[in-house]
Amino acid sequence: MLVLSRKLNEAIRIGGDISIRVVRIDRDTVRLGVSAPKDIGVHREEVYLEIVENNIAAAESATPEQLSLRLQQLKAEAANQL
Amino acid sequence: MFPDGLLGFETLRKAALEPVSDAPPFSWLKFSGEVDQSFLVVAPVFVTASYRFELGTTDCRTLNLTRASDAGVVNIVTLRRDGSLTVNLKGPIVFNKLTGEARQVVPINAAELPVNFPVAN
Repeated sequence: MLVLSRKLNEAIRIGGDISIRVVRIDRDTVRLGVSAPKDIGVHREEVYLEIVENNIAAAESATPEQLSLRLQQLKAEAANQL
Repeated sequence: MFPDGLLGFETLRKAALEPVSDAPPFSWLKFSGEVDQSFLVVAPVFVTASYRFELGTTDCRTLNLTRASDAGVVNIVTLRRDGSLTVNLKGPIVFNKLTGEARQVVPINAAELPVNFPVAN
């Protein structure tokens, strides 16, 4: 991993059209300004981690048999409510 | 075919989409290979009418998508401990209907999309 030191208002550039600037430093929080083309996704890492966690939960949530059974139950419940 | 697998399941590659015969509109996304892993998926139109996500250029390029009509979308369904079903709208699976290439994407507007949208009975 490339590690760079930056002071307040200094930036790094990634490729020709992405820049990340330190816009504020406040105790344990650094505020970054990201300039990137608007068709490029810029996300907090937590967004990815949330999807990873959800994928794991989905994979572990049940066997196909259990899921099929649950779907049947939900269908029956829905039919009863009508 | 998922060249990059799913997030957290990067080794998964080859997959087939099979309708759950007794429970439309759900399908199984069945991965085969070293590890067999299935995910329950559903097309988002059956879950919410207001779902809109913006695909990044890199994802379009990776999937060789040039027209929106060539793209298919399914979302992963999770059975929660309380028996409810939720759908991941934050990380949709987009595929190219012509080539079969598929990818779980993080849309540009991912921050505003829920990872556990409840499925109404």
